[in-house]
Amino acid sequence: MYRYLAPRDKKLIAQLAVVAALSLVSVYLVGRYAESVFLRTESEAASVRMANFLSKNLSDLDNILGGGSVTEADRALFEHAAHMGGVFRYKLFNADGQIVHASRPTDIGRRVSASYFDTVVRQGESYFSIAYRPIGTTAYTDELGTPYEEGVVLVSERYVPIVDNAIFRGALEVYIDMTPLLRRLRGVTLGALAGVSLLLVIVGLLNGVFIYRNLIERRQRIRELETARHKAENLALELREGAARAEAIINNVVDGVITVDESGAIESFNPTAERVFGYAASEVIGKRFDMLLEEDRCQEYNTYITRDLNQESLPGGRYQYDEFGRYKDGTIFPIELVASKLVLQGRRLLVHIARDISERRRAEKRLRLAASVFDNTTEGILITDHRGSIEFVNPAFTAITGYRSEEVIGKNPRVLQSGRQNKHFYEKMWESIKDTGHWQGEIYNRRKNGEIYPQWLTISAIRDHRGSTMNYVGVTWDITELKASERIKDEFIATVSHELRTPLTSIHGSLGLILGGVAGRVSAKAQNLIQIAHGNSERLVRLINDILDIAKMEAGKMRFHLRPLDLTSIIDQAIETNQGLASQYGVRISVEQSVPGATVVGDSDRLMQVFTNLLSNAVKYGPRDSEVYVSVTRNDGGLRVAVTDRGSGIPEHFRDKVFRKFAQADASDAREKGGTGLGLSISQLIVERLGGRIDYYSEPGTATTFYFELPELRKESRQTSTEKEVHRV
Amino acid sequence: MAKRRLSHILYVEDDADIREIVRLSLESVGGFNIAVCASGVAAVEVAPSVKPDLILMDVMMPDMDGPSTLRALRALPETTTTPVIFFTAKVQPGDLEQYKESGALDVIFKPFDPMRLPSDISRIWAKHYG
Repeated sequence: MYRYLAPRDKKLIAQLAVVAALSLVSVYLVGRYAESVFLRTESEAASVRMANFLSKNLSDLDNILGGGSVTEADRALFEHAAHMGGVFRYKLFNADGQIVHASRPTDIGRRVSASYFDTVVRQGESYFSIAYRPIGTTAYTDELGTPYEEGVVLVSERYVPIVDNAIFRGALEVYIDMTPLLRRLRGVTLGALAGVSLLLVIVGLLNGVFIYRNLIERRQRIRELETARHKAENLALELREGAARAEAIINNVVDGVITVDESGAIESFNPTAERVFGYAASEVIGKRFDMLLEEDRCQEYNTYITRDLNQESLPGGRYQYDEFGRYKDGTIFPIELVASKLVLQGRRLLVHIARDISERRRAEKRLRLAASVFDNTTEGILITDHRGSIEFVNPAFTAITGYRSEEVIGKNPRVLQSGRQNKHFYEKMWESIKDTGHWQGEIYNRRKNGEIYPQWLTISAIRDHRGSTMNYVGVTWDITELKASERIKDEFIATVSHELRTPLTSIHGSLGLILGGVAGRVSAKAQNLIQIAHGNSERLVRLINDILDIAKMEAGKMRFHLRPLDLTSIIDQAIETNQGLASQYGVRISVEQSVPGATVVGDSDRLMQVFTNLLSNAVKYGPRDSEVYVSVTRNDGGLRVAVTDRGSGIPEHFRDKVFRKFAQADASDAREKGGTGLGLSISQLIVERLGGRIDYYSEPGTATTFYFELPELRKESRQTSTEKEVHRV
Repeated sequence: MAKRRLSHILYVEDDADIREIVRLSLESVGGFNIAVCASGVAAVEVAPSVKPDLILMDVMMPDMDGPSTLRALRALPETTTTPVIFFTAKVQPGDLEQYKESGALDVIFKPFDPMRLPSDISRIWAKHYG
């Protein structure tokens, strides 16, 4: 702000300040001086008045000064005189300086010791002093019956000499309280100061208004000037840059810029031209331009040049040719050539702009290919804009839906909805597209003829580099026939399962009854054979169950009852279930390590199935009298359950077959160990379905550990997870 | 639940062989009194007069399956409360709960061990009426 003040105004402010200070100081000093004058004058007047009154009225002053007694009448006169003059104490000295009468009786008889009595008072001069003194704590109190308040008062002390015919007869000393007078005088001084201050403020304000107005105007002017200066500077900078820029542009354009003179010789060759044709500028300048073209085209080009450069009638003419360029190594490539005529300082030039269009050609080819795929694929393709209104559909779309392109363009794909899916379904679909950019699944739509059909649909959001959606692309595949064959397969599986199980149940049951002795005693040999038949029928049941499980799971038809499960109790249960098998094989199962409270989301029956598989494998493959260890550990967000046996292990070359169906390291194992060869395949399918993984490590001859890992359900997320059933479609 | 003795069982099964095995098992091994029916329709006709303590019933039967038969039995005054156990091949977890919700006492799986079937039934019975 200060920098915008005009110098004249700065001076004015300084002057005002000086005048104000001077006025206030002088008023103050004058006030103080007047005070002292008034105090002295008033004190003198009062003292002299008292002295005069006494000398006039006392019957015999000489007698008193001479040491005579003071009568009651005299004493009354003294006090009256004192009251009149505002005197609160007095002392009467004789010529020797001894007190002969005083307001304070104790003073009488004392002698003055001060030197001024001799040097001043005895010479007939009045002696005066004024000072602040405390009152109330000393003998001043009540001396004249005047009630003085305690405190400090301004006391005037004056000796008035009593001279008779030029002879010094004595002196009267009077004490007067000057405080009330001083107070009045101070009031006057302060009043004057206040008046002057007010005046100064008014003057200051009046001037301030003018100064402020000047300041605002000046600031505006200064700013305008600064802006103008900036503009001028920028303009100068731009002009300087202009020339450099023109050159830089030529050097950096994406096109090759080549100038050719009247004779057809190259005159300039920019860096892009160097890149396009592979020559350095120095290699081509001065040479003929046609060296850059395919040989066949040279003749034709040269006639153009001659004609164009020499025809005055085509000022600023511009020609565009699709040519084939010749690279330094002889390679021929497509270029787009634009030639324009230019007259520069009297010389005629042709400016060529050459652009390598190989990339464009390739892109065109790609586009043609894409278009051909779009037109010829058997999958229906539908493309909408970002708002969802249809922009393109391909012939397969028409074949599937019955809608021709012109019937649906501009419409929303909603026209295809069958009503089989609810609002929630579409909400989930859009949620997935928004989150991941994709959705795929099975959906029932309605053809133009009203028929409802199942389709497999994939929707993808096409996004630009900023991530905002430009288009949605739907690729659809009519799965009516597929669904029909799937249904047949499902029915077949159900039928097979029932048809196979029913006779097996009879066989198994009958053999069981015979073995149980219900049909009477059988021979030991027969008993043995029946035992074999019974065992194998049992194995057949397990095989059928496992095959059906796998078929269902692979078809995604296995239902999982997902809920939070306490891992420890599942493990305990599985160990208990397999205890019988373990003792049969002479193997002990023990829990080596556990994580109390570990919770996973799973289907308890299915998880039991996995445990049972791993445990029964470990039990069957572990040597007699060995131990099988179960351990649960926590590792980054997941829980690992491991089952270790001391068996012969799995040969490394067998690794990629372990989880395959009917895979057993030794083909005779299956029968020997009574397994189906499907347990690990099923376990893998189950664990993966629960979002985990299953694997193993084995040291042949030492130990084998099969483990699976599942995501742990943390306590805080447990509240929100409710029991839900998952259907795979 | 009041303590009740299990003596008469009605077994409903469409497969004649299994019917025979189960009958043998329950009679010879378990010592129960057994009546058998070859279909759900027959069971609905017979049950009110037989008045069994328990009905053991196959699920997959032609014409009228287990759950439908159960509903039909519940509609008859004589069998409104007769306990029913389903006897079926391995099921999916969802099915099991559905069977129990439909009012079955429990489910026993096929294939079964005929030597243990009677004790399995007794155990279920004891759990509810013991």
